[in-house]
Amino acid sequence: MHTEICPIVVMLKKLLLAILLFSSMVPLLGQSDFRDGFIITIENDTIYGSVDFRTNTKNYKSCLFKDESGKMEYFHDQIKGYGLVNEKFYMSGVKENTFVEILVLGPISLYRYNETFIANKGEETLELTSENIEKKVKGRTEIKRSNKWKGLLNYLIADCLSNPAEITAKLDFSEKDITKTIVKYNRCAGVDFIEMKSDIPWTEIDLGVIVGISKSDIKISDATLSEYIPESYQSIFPMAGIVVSVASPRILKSLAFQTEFQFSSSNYSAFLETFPPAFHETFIDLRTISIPLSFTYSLPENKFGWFVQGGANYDFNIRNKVETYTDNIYTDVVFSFIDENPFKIRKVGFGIFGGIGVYKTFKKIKINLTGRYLYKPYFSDLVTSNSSNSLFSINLLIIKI
Amino acid sequence: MKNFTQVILLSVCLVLLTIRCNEYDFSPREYPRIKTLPVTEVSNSEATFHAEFIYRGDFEVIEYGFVWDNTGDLKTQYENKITFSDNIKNDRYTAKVSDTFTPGNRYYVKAYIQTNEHLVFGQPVEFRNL
Repeated sequence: MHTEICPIVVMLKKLLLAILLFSSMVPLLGQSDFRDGFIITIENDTIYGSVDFRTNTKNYKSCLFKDESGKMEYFHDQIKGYGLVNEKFYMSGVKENTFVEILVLGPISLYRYNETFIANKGEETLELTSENIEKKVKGRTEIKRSNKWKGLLNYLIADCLSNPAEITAKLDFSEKDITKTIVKYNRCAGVDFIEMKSDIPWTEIDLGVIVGISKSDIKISDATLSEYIPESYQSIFPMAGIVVSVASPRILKSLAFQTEFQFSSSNYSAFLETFPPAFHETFIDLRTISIPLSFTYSLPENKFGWFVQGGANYDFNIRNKVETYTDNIYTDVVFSFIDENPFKIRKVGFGIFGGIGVYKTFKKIKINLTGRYLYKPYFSDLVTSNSSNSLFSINLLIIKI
Repeated sequence: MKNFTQVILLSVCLVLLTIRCNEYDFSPREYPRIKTLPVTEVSNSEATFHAEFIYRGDFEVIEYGFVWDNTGDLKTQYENKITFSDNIKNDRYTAKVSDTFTPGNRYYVKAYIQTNEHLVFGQPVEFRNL
């Protein structure tokens, strides 16, 4: 039982340490990020300056605006709206006591406030929401999402689009699906309209290369082998591969899913001297294809941006050779032996990793520099042992955008 | 598509750079270290033995060669032995020996090195005349 639980406890402790480390950096990362923007006054004047790039929750509440006259915080009753150039636009007066994000302006206008979409057509304003509904079926409680919003949307588009029920039946309650439907209606209506974030893609797939250097530590703790097998092995080795990053900048610019295909070749050796005089030298030779799958959360880029990363790692060892060279010494005579399989490194391994990094975007490429910690428990096939592999790596990613 | 090909080609080059030769970094000792390699060309009357230094050091080698028998026991005196007497500088050496190797029987060969202070035997390697 102890053997089973111990690596997981170690892993959790290290993960906790990483989270604490990151938490301590949050105040540093949460500094203001003013970008080109504007405000529209109650008198309909547009004043250009810079607007603090913050989370939507804060943006609904107020706008932090800076120009030559200084920094000001504006609330919904002080301005008609504000915007970050090529990013997001907010206006007041649509919903009480708050700003809302503008998605589409036209025959049907669409706004967003948290998880509520607000559609305005002429004099009519409808709120589209999708709440959880509890239903009791045969004594069991089932939770379903409300589809009432589909009926409302159906009603709004029915005067121009044919088969509205068929259109809305296929939709998810997402910014992407609802915006596309409203845009389709506005096109059908043949009146000018503005889709606010039309330049920002819904899905963005970027490809790049990764190179890195890893410091790896293998621990093998086994009572039956400890007489001649060292417990700890270290290696520093390079790694290279390709990176695929998938994001939806239009919905959430800060979050991306990232996968990599890495190749590395690593050699480890450790040495043990025993009595009666004998030297035991163990070598581990690995060639590994690694597939890390992770989510990255990026903070807004100023001179450069910060990001954190976390995920799971799958390893396939295409080579996993272990050998122990033993020299038994009898005064002036040495007898050598080779154990070609003192223990086995698993062909397939899983681990978890977390990391922190900085990025800088140039015209055609984005460069990331990350530090990652990867922990792989159950590294060896030895049933009676605690075995693990922990790696700290520094990686450089060059992603074509 | 062009970008994709460029990225793939670049990553293949980077991967090739990470590949290292499969050479262990053997630690030095107070004696040279020898490894017996697999036997080749085994027949009823002949076999070819091979060995390589895994740590040569700058020891003066007085004698080196191979010993073989059908037990693989730990001992220092062998009836079957082939010897060379020079201070070998090569990393590897080979010897073609003449003996009766009965088909189906197991035999064991060890490389050896004699210096002024140590007699070092490589690990036994089993072979058969199939």
